[in-house]
Amino acid sequence: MEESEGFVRTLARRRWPRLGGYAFLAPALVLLVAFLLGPAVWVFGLSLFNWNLISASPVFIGLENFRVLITQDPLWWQAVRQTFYYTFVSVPASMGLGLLLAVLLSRPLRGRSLLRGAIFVPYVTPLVATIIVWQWIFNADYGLLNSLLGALHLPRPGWLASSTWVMPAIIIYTVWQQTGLNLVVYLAGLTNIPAELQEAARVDGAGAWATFRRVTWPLLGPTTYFLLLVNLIWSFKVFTPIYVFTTNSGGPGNAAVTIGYYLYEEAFRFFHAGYAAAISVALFLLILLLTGLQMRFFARRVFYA
Amino acid sequence: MLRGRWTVSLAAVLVLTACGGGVTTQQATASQLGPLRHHVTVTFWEAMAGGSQKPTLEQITNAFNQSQPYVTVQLQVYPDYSTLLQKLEAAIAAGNPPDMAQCYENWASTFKQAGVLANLTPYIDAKDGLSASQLADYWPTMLADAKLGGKFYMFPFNKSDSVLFYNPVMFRSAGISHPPTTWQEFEQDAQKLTDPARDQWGTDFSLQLGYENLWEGMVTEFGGSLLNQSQTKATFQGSAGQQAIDVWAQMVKNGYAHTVEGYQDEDDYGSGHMGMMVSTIAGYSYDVASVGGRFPLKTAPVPAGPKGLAVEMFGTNACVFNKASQDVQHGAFLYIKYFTNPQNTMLWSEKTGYMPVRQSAYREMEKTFYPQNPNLKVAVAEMPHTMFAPSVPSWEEAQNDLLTTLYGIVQGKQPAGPALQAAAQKVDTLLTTG
Repeated sequence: MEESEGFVRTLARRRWPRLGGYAFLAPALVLLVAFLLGPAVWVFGLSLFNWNLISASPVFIGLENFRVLITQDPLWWQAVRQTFYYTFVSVPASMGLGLLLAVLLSRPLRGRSLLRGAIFVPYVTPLVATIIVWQWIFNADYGLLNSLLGALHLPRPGWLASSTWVMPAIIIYTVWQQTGLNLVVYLAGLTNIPAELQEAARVDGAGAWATFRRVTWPLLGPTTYFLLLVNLIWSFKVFTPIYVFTTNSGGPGNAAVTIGYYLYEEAFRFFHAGYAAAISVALFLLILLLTGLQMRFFARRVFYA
Repeated sequence: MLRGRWTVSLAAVLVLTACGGGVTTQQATASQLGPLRHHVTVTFWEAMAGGSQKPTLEQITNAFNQSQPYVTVQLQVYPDYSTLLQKLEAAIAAGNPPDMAQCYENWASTFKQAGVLANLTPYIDAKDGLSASQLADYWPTMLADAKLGGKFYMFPFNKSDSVLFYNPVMFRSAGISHPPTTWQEFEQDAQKLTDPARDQWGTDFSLQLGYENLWEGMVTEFGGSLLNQSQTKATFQGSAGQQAIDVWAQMVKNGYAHTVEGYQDEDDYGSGHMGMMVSTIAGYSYDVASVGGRFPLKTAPVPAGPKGLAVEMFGTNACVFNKASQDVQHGAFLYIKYFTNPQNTMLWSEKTGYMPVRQSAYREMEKTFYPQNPNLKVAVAEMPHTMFAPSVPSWEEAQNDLLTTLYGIVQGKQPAGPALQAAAQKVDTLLTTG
């Protein structure tokens, strides 16, 4: 009897802390399931249906949406190409620029804080507001950018009204907008590098470039890896700049349609919710694949000091 | 208020259960429907967010709420039509639509297919509805457009069409004596207005959704049609469609027309860089603001083609959702009736540029308003020549494809014939599969 009571007490003691833990987790867990995991699972299911979300009769069509997407939809492949174009130009550009500015601004410099702030401001200013300003800058006929190009006797592209230049325009905006984040994270990474390592390199006769190449860059590995991951995922999902810059049209000749924009268009303009869900799933698989590749090829090379 | 609503809903549910009917509120026949006797609140989702549209809609709505004790309309404004559509779609999917909303024809088609729209006929025929003579006072084309399958699933609300905006100062200095009346003259005038040295050109071809509507009207002006009678097959790929877009392709090629994005055409016109713009009269208050008194803004009818004048009618209708109780639907219609009564449609038209939806209002405005504001008369005078975009659910997507195709042609990337042929094939598929 006494023994069993002791057992119950032990059990209670063991179980309660666990339950208590779950109780503390519950609010966050409920939100996570209701607004993230639940909908995510639902999207997988939805992708197997022909449905507009509002009719009473969704039709189960198996993998038909995926078959059409892959074999019969040129706009999907155009969106994939344009998403890759956007990502693989804007991410290296904004990360490279962020790194360069971080290295420059980590040195003692007059007005350093002001410059850091100025470069970070675009990142924290609301997207839509800055995009509308940039729409004016990109105005082909009397925008600031073309006035400058004209003054330099350079060709004046049609920017947002040209199928060739609309994507470069959005990439220029993105680099301007994203560099601030990369700068700040790189600055944090730089302050974590022990000064004595760089000093030691200098004592050993390494120049500025060699110090950067052999000491700073390898030690920034974890920062670069983190930024690469975050930037890639962000740009694969890009939507707002496309929507606002092209006034909800996807650009001239659909030249600015990205995967994120295409799935919005299918779901909320054309009432093809099932098909849009299939696009979501495809986007998820694409990001999963890319992240997997990154982990496979880059993670091992990252040097954690 | 709530109790009234509940009683009615409960009664409706009982009636439906007894009849073994569906889940929507049963609609009474005209003989059953007396005047509204319970207080109801009607939520109205709309996209009249800018210019003079927002304050005027609020003014009329407040006046309605104060004018009678039974209906309170609550406006929920969204920034633009695409946001409105997105919100409507989500709300309907969640089983919680508003009581009424602004609806384009193709949206209403989709909503009707989903079985969520209310047939407004019982409320039109109700004792406090519209008399036969009142109903006949609405423009017949607008009423025809508000019907789906012969029944009023919508009602005319804010309707507009395109007119030609021109800059008389630029016209004078280019030696043009009157606005063009045909597309041939339009092209010639665009050439005369173009002067690269002065950073000045004839007109814009905008990639904004809506510009394909201009071409859609032109197809009729050149003797063609967009779809066959039963709206099951594309017919725009014929020579009329090709000639219509070639007018623009030629002007862009020669530099008389610039291709622009979004609403840049309004800025180009207002800043005096561009001499002519075909645009909706609903943008009138924006255009006046854009011009800012730099020159006298002038409008004229859209140029005609070989087969005369044809312009597409834009703007939305009001539609009511059948999830709302019968009293709420009834209240919503009373509001629509109030909004479109001769005084209010006149007020709405005078403030925003939208067309008055009643003929008696137009006649009154001919005496009191148009003599001082001839620009706004042009749009209504075009009324006998208006046509409507197809009301099939997939037309929104078809228009998107058309805009891309038209852009390709105008940019000289592909000749009109094969490009429109390919677009027609795509549209045919859309019409069959949705």
